[in-house]
Amino acid sequence: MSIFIVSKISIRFGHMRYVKENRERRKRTSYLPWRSAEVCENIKEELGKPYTQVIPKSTVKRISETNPIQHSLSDIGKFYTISEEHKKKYFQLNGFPKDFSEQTTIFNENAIMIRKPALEIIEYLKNADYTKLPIKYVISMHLHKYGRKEANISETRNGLVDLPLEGALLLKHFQLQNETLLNKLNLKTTKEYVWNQRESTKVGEPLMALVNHGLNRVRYSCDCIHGLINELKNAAINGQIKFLVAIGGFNSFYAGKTMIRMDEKYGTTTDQISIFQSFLSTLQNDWCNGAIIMTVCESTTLPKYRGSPLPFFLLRREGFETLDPFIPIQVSKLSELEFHSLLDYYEDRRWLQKIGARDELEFISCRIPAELSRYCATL
Amino acid sequence: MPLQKIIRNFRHILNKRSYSQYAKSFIRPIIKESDIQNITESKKINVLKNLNVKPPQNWESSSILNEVVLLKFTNYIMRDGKREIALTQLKKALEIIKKIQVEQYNKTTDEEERKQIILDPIRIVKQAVANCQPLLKLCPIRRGGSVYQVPVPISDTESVFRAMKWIVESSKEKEGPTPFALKLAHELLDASKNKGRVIKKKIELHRICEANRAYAHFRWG
Repeated sequence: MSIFIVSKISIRFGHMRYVKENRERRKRTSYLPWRSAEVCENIKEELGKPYTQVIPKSTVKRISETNPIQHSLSDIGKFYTISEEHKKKYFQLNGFPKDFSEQTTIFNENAIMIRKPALEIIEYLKNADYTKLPIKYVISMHLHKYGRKEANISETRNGLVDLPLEGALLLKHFQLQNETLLNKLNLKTTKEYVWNQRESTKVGEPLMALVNHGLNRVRYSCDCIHGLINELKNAAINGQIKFLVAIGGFNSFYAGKTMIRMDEKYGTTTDQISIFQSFLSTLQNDWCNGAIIMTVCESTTLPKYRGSPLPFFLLRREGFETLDPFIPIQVSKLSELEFHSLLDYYEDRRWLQKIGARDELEFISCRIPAELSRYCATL
Repeated sequence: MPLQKIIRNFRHILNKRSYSQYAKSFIRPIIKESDIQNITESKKINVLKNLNVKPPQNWESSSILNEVVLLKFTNYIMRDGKREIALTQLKKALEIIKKIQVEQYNKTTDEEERKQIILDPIRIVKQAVANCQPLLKLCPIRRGGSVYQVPVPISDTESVFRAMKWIVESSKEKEGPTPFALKLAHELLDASKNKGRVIKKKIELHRICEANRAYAHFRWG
């Protein structure tokens, strides 16, 4: 034991001699600091200088044309703004993704970059033959999610579950978007709807009465949606209107499990939800004068169904067969032009504080927009 | 002195490993690109040319995402060695700070007011830490059978440690179900403006040190 200690000390002394010899050399390199000293020095160095805001070098490419129908392929990568009036009218309750609506308040404007998939759909819609069956377009994006909600058993349709609050929100969204159009067209109900012994909507009443009933009596909102969709389908067949159905996160219809609690159990599946069933009725090939646009995204399904952005993987066999045939539209990653114009916009709005690191950002994010915004959030 | 006590006094010498992968003559690498540019232009390059250089550590890189202060700050947020969770919390806090500042910037129309807003979140973190640094600390010292709280000057590194620890502690203390990142963000913003509970804590410590000024000579007793 004693021998061991002595040997250790001798090594130590030897080391001290070595340090003495190299003391001069170590003095010279002492400005290279160790970790905690490095932090102190870093803070002092930064705060020694007065703060100046970063000024962007390049300007944003903007376009004054706000109507997306007028945009052409040469406008890809440019930004157009939606006015506050239009935003209030069309996107008050729903429509924008959560992240985007958060950014509009930060940037103090509603700017959208023109990209290829949107132009592609608009061109298809312009040139389609509306006398034939509705064409289905599937995009990979997402808009809506559902979680734990209030739920009731449906009285009119057996074995189905109503989501009254969700239904009322959907009706309100429909009302805000289409009120002026419906008043102008003067559509009327073709069927009598009996809600209970006292309340009913008779034949020949305006279509807005059906929507208002769903909003006033939230309990019947899901049945109102079912009636409304059937009425609109009939009007489209008669040629009174052109009917566009837009569904975000369509693959959530086939997710299977839900977090809805009925009788203190989590047993309900997505097939049992009445709103989904009434939307599925629009996919049947029994009407014309319309189109269906839907998006498919990984984040709307359960974690076990994630892993690939392709439609067959997300919709699974059941969903794919109900949709087939459809036109798939891929939202690819940003091109080099789009990438630079997006970063220009971030710098203009002072969201990106570190200028001159574009090569690294491009390398890390692989020009995937979600990844890019995640990295830019802290810089 | 008993043998046990002697060994305890020299333990730091005995247990210390006296070997290294690299000799003492090796210097640490210079990592930041701006530092390299500055050194190559100055005369220091003549000294550094002939020295051996160690490879960089695992956590060191010249990336824009790498910031020394943030790496240090995560150590105090971290629990049970879960560094990734701590880092994500800190990044969320930075994002919240930036959201508040950028929104304020875009909504003000006056040019002079605009220029005063600090937009860089890392600058705000540094400012907050610098404002919270204490100048003194209290050390319990036994003299004549009773313990006195003696004010003692503090080193730079320790004062930075105190400041960071206080900010993290006070953001954990706050009531309500608000998430940690949000609390941390508001605590940092307050501290950067010389407000908030951490600054209060610092002022109170200085006040006690001022009151115990009479015991200061016990430090050398």
